[in-house]
This record gives sequence, C-alpha cells and structure tokens, in this order.
Amino acid sequence: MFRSLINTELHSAMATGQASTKPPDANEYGGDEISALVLDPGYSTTRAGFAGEDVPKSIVPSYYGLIPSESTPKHAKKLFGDNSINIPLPRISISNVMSKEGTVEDWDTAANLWEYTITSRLTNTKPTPLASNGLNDPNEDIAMEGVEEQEKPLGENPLLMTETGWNAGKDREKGIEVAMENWGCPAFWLARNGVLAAFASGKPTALVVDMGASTISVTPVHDGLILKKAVTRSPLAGNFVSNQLRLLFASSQPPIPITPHYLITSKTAVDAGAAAQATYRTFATGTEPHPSFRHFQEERVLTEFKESVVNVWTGPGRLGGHSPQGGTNMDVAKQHPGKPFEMPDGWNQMFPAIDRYRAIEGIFDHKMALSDANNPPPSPGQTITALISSSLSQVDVDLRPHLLGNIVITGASSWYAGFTDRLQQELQAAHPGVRVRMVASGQMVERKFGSWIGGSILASLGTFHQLWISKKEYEEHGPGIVEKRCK
Amino acid sequence: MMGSDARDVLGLPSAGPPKPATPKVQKPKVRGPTGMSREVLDLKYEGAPPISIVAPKFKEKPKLPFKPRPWEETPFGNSARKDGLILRHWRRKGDVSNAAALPVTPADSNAASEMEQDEKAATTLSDSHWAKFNVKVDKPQYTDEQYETHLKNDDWSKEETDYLIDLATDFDLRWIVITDRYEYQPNQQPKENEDSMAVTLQAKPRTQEDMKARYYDVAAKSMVLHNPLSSMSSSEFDAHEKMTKYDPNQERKRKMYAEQLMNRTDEEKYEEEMLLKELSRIVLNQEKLFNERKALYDRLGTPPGAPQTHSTAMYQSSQGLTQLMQNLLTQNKNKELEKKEKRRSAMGAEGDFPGGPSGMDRGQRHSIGGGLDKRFSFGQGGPRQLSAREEQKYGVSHPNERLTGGVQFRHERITKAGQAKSGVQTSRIGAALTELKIPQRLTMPTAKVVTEYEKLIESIKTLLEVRKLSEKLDGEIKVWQAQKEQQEAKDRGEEVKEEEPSQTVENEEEDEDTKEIDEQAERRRKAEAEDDDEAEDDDEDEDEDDQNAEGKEEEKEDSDEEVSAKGSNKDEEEDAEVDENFAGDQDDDDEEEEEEEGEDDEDEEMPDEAEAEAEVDADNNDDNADANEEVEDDGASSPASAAPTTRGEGLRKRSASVISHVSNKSSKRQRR
Ligand SMILES: Nc1ncnc2c1ncn2[C@@H]1O[C@H](COP(=O)(O)OP(=O)(O)O)[C@@H](O)[C@H]1O
Ligand SMILES: [Mg+2]
Repeated sequence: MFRSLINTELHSAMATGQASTKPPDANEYGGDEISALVLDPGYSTTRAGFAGEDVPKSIVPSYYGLIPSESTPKHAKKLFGDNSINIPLPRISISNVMSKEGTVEDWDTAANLWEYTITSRLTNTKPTPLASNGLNDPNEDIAMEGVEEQEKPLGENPLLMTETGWNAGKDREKGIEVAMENWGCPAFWLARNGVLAAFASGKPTALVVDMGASTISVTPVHDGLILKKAVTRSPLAGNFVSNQLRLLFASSQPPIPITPHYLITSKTAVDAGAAAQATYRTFATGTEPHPSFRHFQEERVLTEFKESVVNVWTGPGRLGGHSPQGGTNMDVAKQHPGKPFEMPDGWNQMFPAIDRYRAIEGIFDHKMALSDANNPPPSPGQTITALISSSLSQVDVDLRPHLLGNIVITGASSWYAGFTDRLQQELQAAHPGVRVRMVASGQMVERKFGSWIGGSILASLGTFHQLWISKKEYEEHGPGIVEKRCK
Repeated sequence: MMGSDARDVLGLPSAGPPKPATPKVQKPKVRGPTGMSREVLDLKYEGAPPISIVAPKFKEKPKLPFKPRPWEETPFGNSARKDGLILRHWRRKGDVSNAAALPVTPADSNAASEMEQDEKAATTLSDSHWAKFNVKVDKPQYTDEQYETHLKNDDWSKEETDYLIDLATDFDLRWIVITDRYEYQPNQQPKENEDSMAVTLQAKPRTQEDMKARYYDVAAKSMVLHNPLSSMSSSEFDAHEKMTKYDPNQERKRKMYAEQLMNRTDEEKYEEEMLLKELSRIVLNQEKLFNERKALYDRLGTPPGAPQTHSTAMYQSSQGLTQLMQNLLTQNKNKELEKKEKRRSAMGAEGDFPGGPSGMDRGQRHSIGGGLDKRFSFGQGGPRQLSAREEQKYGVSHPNERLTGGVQFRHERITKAGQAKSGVQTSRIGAALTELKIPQRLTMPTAKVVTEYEKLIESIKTLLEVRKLSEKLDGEIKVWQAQKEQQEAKDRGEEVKEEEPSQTVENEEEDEDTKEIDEQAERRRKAEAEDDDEAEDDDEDEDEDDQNAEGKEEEKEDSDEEVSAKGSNKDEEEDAEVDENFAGDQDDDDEEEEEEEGEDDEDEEMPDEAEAEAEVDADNNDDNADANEEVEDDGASSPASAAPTTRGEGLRKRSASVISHVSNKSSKRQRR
C-alpha cells in the first residue's frame, strides 16, 4: 500500500523483480497526472484545485449567506463565494457548513458549496473534449449520451477529498456518496489532512500540528497513516485568538469597538487614539443584516489584525513567567515596541507589545487566557504543548523521538511571528533528551494550504492510480468501501 | 505631454524658445575605460539611470525541422486494479514506448467501448507502469485443522488470531499502526454453546508486544507447516529464526528503559554524565587513588579505636568509611568543643555565642545549597517547577501539618530505627531481622525503602512488646495465684513463708529482670489511673518526640512526677500508641527529605538541632538512666498494691488493645 507507493518506490521495484529486469527510468519517480481534483474543506475556507498544481485555484469561504424568502420560509436563498456573502443584503444571515469540530455539519449545503467551489473556477473553464462535445458527431444518439454525461459536473475528474483525523463513521461515507452520485466522479479517495500536510513537507512520518480556524489538532503520522488513537485536538485555534482579541478590546480603557467595513460609508483620518470620524451606514428597519453577518465581518477585521499586529512571545520562558534577569516577563514585554493598527472607521492606535503577545499566549499557557461568561477559560490540557505531550504519550516509545524530530507546522493560524520558535522552545524544554525539530514552511501559501498541497502531490502520483476507489467498486460495495480502503 | 516632447519623439527641430542644454547632452563625453558596459559606467558617473527603449516584438516562431507531435488525452488501465478503472492522462500521440499491453477483460467492455471510439484499433490498452510497485506481504496461511493441532493458544481465540493476521497483512506489518487500529470485539464471534457465552466477552487489552508475539508464533509455525525447516532457503530460515526468537518481555523492558531515557531531565542527564565520567576516572586511577588515600590516612593519624595496622583494607567498605568518618567527626567535635570552651572563657560575659557545631553545620549547608542552586539554575529563571516524578525522586512532600525537627540523614534513620532503648531489645530486633533475612544495613536505602524498613521495625518492636507483655502477664498470674494460695492458706490458718513475687517470674536476661519488676509496679499504678489519664496521654504522645529528650533529662531530677515516670516507660507507651507515633514519624520523614533538598535553614531549626544532640547524649546515657529509673520506680511501686480486680481489668484491656493493634498491623503488612 502506501509504503510501497510513497516511500520506497525504488526499494519495492527491486524487490518485486518481476517487471524490473532493466532499471526503472527517471519518470518513474515523478507524477502521472490524470486531471484529478483535490478538495480540502476547512472551517474558514474550502480549497479546491487540480492535482499537480502548487496552489489551489479556487478558495471559497466555508461560510454561506442565507436570505430568507418571505413567501416560502423553507426556500431561503443560499449565497456562496466571497463576492456575494460580503454584501449586506437585506436580512442576510451567515452560517457555516462545517461544525466547530472541523467535520461537515450540513451535508446538503456543503455539497452545494463544494460544487460551487469546483465549478465556478475549475471545471467550467475547462473546455469539453472535442471528441465528445457533440459538434463533430454525426450520430445523434452518441450526442445524447454525451449530454447525459455532461449533466454530472465532475464526470471526468477523479476527486481526492480531505478529512480531519477524527472524522468517523457516516461522515466518511457521505463524501463518496456526494462525489459518486451527485457529481459522477469516475474515482474517489478520502485522505486525512494530517497525512497530506506531512506529505506536503516531504515527510511520511511526522507529528502534524495543524492550527486552523476552529480547531488545533495534533496528528501523529507513521508511514503515511495516522495513528488514530493518538490524535488530539482542542478549540484554541484561530477563532479562539479572535475571541481573545474581542475580550482584549472590550477590557481596554476605553473599550475599542470593532466596526466592520460594511458599516462605513465615509471616514476621515484621525490622530492616534482620537475618536473615529466616520459616517455610518444605516439600514431601514426590517432590512438589517442578521447579527451573524456582523460577526462574520468582524472576523475579517480581526483576521487582518491578527495578520499584522499579533505576535507570539518568544521567551525565554513564558509571558507569565520570570525573566532570567529577574523581574517578570510581563515587565520585559512592556519594553518591546508596539504596532499601529487602523480600524475600518479610521480609529487607530499604537498597540503595545504586551497586548500583541497577550492575545495568543493563551494557546501556550492556559493561565494567560482571557475569559468571560461566553468564553470559558481553557483547561491546562487544551494548550498546544499539552496536546502534543498527550499525543506523544499515546504512541509507541520507539516512534516518539522520530516524531519530535519531524514536527510539521501547518494551518494559517500558525503564521504568527514567533510561533514556531516558541513551540520549539517549549517542546525542547519538555523533552530535553530528544532533539526537537520543526518543519515549518517559510512560505505563506504552503502553510495556509498545506493539506491541499499534500493532496495535490498524492493525487498526481503515478503510483496512486491503483489506490483510487473506482465508480465500479463503489457500485459493487456501497459507500462502506471508504472505511475499508481509505485507512 | 508637452509639445516639445512630441517634437523630440518625432525628431523635428524644436520650435519656440531654445531650451537650455540638458546635462544628458554632455553625458556621453565622459568616457571611461573601454570594455566596460554602459550600465556599469553609469553607476560610476552618476546620472540618469539607463533606460533601454526596446520596441515590443513577439518572439519569432522557431522554424522546426520536424512536424510537432500533438498531445492527446489517452485512456489507460492498471493491471494492479481488479476493477478495470480507466483513467486518462496526456501523452504524446503515438508514444507507446513504456506502455505495456493490457488485455481488455470482458468486465471492462462497457468502459472500453467508449474508449474504442478514441482509439481505432482498441484491443489493447496501455498498462500503467506503476502497477509493478504493488507489493504485498505474505500472509501466514493455515487451515482450521492446522490451527487446532499446532497453533492453539489459551489466550487467543481463533477469531482473534484471524483478525490479527488480517490486520497485520492489511497494514504490511507496520506494528505501530496495527496497535493503533486494533479494535477486536469478541462478541462478534459466532456463539456455539449459548449458555456458556451468555456473558458478552470483554476484549482483552493487547499490547504491541502481545500482538507481535502471537503473530510471529503463528507465522513461524505456519512457515514450518508449509515448508519443513530442512528444506527452507537461508533467507526463509533467517526469518523463521528471528520470529521464534522474539521475546515480548525483553521488548517490554527495553521500551520501559527507552521511555525512562527519553524522560530524563537536563539535570539527570548532567548527573549521569558526571557519574559516568567519575566512574571512568575512578576505574582509571584506582591504584593511584588507593595509594593517595592511604597516604592521607597516615597523615591524619590513625583515628583512635582503630586497630593499629597500616592496611587500608578496613576503610574500603562503606561501613569502614562511615566508621572512619564518625571517628574523625568526634575528634573534630571534641577539638571544636575545646576551642569553644577556650573562647567562651576568653570572651567571658560578652554575650551569647552561637552554638558551635550547629553553627558550623549551617554554614556548610548553605554552601552546599549554593552549589546546588548554581547547578540547577541553568536555562530557567525563578524557582523550578518539579514534575510529579521528580518530586517523588527527590522526596519532596507537601504535608499539611507543621513539621518539627531538623535535618536527618537516611542512614541515621535506619540506625535509629534498629535501636531500641535497651541493648537486649536491640539484639532481639537484630535477631528478628536476621530471621526475616533482612540485612541490618540496607543495601539500597531509598526514601521508600527506609520508610518501609521503619514500618517493619515498628512492627517487630510491637511484636516483641506483646511477647514481653504476655510473658509478664503469665508471671503476674502466677504471682497472684501464689498470693491467692497464700491468702487461702492464711485463711486456713496456715503459716506460710513470705515470698518475693518476682522470683516466680521467669527471666532469661539479668538486666531485664529488675526492670520488669518496675514495669509491673508501674503498670499496676497506671491501670488505676488509666481512665483519668487517657486524654492526657494522647496529648503527650503527640508531643512525645519533642519531649523525649527533655523528659529524659527531667526524669533524673523530679522522679515523683508522673510525666517523668511515663518517660521512663516510654518504649511501652510508644508501642501502645503506635498509630499516632507512626503518623508523627512519617511527618518527620517528610520533613527530613525536604531538608535534604537543600532548603534554606531557618532559625527555628536551631533549637531542634540542639534537641537532637541532646537526644544523642541521652541515648548514650541510656544505661545510666535506666539504672536511675529502677531506683526511682521502686519507690513509686509501693503505693500501688491495692484492688487486684481493677488491676487485672486494666491489664487485660491494655493487652487486648495492644494485641488487636498488632493484628491490625500484621494484616496491613500482609496486604502490602
Ligand atoms: N496571516 C495570518 N496570521 C494569523 N492568523 C491567520 C492568518 N491568516 C489567516 N489566519 C487565521 O487562520 C484561520 C484559518 O486557518 P486555516 O488553516 O485556513 O483554517 P481551516 O483549515 O480550518 O479553514 C482563521 O482563523 C484566520 O483568522
Ligand atoms: Mg485546516
């Protein structure tokens, strides 16, 4: 299986002997593309693209807009894609097809969203093959057959889909049902996103730390297979940091309001700390967007803030600890420079370093997390270091040093300055006897789309051809085949 | 754009007022050395950056000497697949260099029919050249019969064995993954005899070693079944050898060690390194070291008490070394005391001088603590957080009660535990220990072992006490019987000679003899007072450790007081209330260990240390004190000769409580 495919191609080629009297030629190590598609649904975005490419061409928010219709409340209009869900249409509300657990919550809408993701950017732009587009065919019957084929959006593309390490049972089978029944894929495969992220870093064995939007997960991968029982996760990911920022803004004196872009009609520049001078948009009663819309728009502002201002404290020690020179690290952090940020309404301020560190410190040190009634304080077991230790403690002792030497960092939320250094420090302190090494790409896209890229590599490998679950196999065995094949 | 620019572009002569000459015009006059490109020159002589104006022009179409071969989307099959899936990839038209022929099976016919239109003569389909990488592990094969005769195992049902073997082949013997995915549910198996299977079987927890052991066992045996050892090829034989040699216990042990090795802290690593270095150094310099040591002993002068030989053999055991150290210490202390005396007399009334030896100790410990601090403080600021494992290792405890007492070493605790108040008792404890085959000097006195050892000694003491008590009771019964007989005789008017009660008591030891009489008397007196005193007793027992020494000293002076009388019979009381003492002891232990941690000394400890010393003194004087007690107790015994019934009751009560306590203890020990 995987081992012979991914790791030791050369080895097995020599071992089998049957077909290899002559040495394998160079392109046996490369890919063999079959126009497969790779679909990687996450909580914040859903990524799709052709296997063999290095970034997904289609990135669509996993959030969708709902516009309730007055006449038939059941038939609410669903809006997909950045271009439509960011417009404050009357009474628009925003939901997510994924659950906070990182698994699919609303399968019908998810199927719609994914189809939109694929067809809006990928397959529609691809011309139908000349031979079967009906124009060159004198025979009418064949043309009709062709039309039938065309009704299914992915009739020609094998599809590789990703899932989380803890996805189980019916949720796994739903994917193949949608791909085969709705889209008519000739072949399908379901891969764990941890494994794919490891492949993207060129590691068949690794400990994958994925900092997504809703969950942070630690997945031990051995020879291209996840160790299911040792997968750990907690909600201290991107959305947690956003909520920390909300708490931080609310607790500052005076409180800092987050006004999303759609509420601003015009603004004038103001000095740092001065009150915003902007005219705000108002909505006629009955046409206001749902609060979920505002929350979603605030999230975009906060993501911007996270990208430009938030930093990870890189020690020595923890932010809540003592510095080796005496005194607390908090005092040391006060000496560090701040960073300016301007809200959409023009309000701006220099954010002191202590706040910049504080917003994310809770991920490493539960005691430093801010909390209120709606945001309960995290437990000590939820911090990233605790997740890693508990995951490690559940794998074989012989594997642990190897995993610690190959810690793959992926997910957009790991892109904070200092994140990797800090994690390295914490882990090295916790495991002094082992060499801890991080494998973290310095490229934003590789970090953001780690699991998609891994899928792209896998689905374009020549050796992967024999793994696909074909339509025929699906028809023979039913959706249960996923459990048997995609281990 | 200005008009002049347009003119410029068009190359027309300028109209209007003449423009001042631009510096650009003068530029070309500056000539550098030839052979330098214009761009480089421009960097040297500053001026406007060079702008190359290149007219946009498409690249010329290459004139190829051959006709381009078009690419086409070619369908292909894969012989490694059984379902005849046809995928398409882009290939050069007519490129069949690495396409092996794949016959179309009837199952593929409908899939192939579509393809037939693409390729004119489509009887063959190119095979993916990746197919050959599909390798599988050989699955051990066995029939039901073979299983029954050769592979049966009480721990593994056939179903579970099958499951294991399937899983192992599925995951190509990647044991880490197999262990992770192992989810055998025994209730899936077909139920043959319903009544015995009424209870759903619980899945046995299987470790990786269990699985490996079973798999290798089955695989090796089935290998032999299919191919007897004699006809195996060498590689097969090797595999068979490896599988039969697998030892799960050794693997388990190895993993345990590996885990311990991984969990080492920096300090432990450092310590280990140092120890290894030290060891190699010692091994290297052993000879030299012995010589040096001998020279040192000679220089120091053989300590008094040691035989006047010049051999160092007696110091090479740890026992010998301790003795030497003790000797040297007492020498030192004596000198110190002398000095102190001298100084005190010199200083006269100038004020209190802090205690000599204890003061010195304090200084020393400070320096040790400082050294430790330095060593343990690298990398981390502030106090270090110890993990639970480290706390256990260093013996750190977090007791809730206030602790008493100063620093104590474990070896002191051991010797103290083994010592009873009287020499006879001590030797009896020793005898009991030898009977239990426990050395008097523990080979590995870790904190845990010492605590257990102390518990054991406590129990032995209690047992001895009970034995003594029962002997005493026997004696007493005899005495009273004799008295009763006397009384009866008297009543009958017979004249009977006075008899000393103690003569009826059987005694093996001389010194115990007299003591026991005293105790008897004491008991009688106590039995009367017991009810009243009980509450008071408890209080006193709690403080006993502290009062010990004081009590001892006091008792010499005011023997009439009850406190002192009790102090004299301390060991009995201790036993009767072992529970409390026991708790107290443990607290003490905890504290000792904390002290060993090198925590800062507090002033409070001073008196404790003094006390401890006093106790040592008291111990040394034990025999004398005992002698004193005897005399004193004789006096005390006389008033307590009334009301035999009450006495008897008190005794019975007391012995009963002791016995029940002992039985509790022994059962506890058994459980342990
Ligand atoms: N440059 C950045 N720095 C920090 N956080 C970021 C950055 N870009 C995106 N994020 C956060 O990362 C999360 C999305 O991460 P991603 O790995 O795409 O999640 P998912 O796989 O769950 O969709 C969001 O919470 C977003 O706010
Ligand atoms: Mg993700």
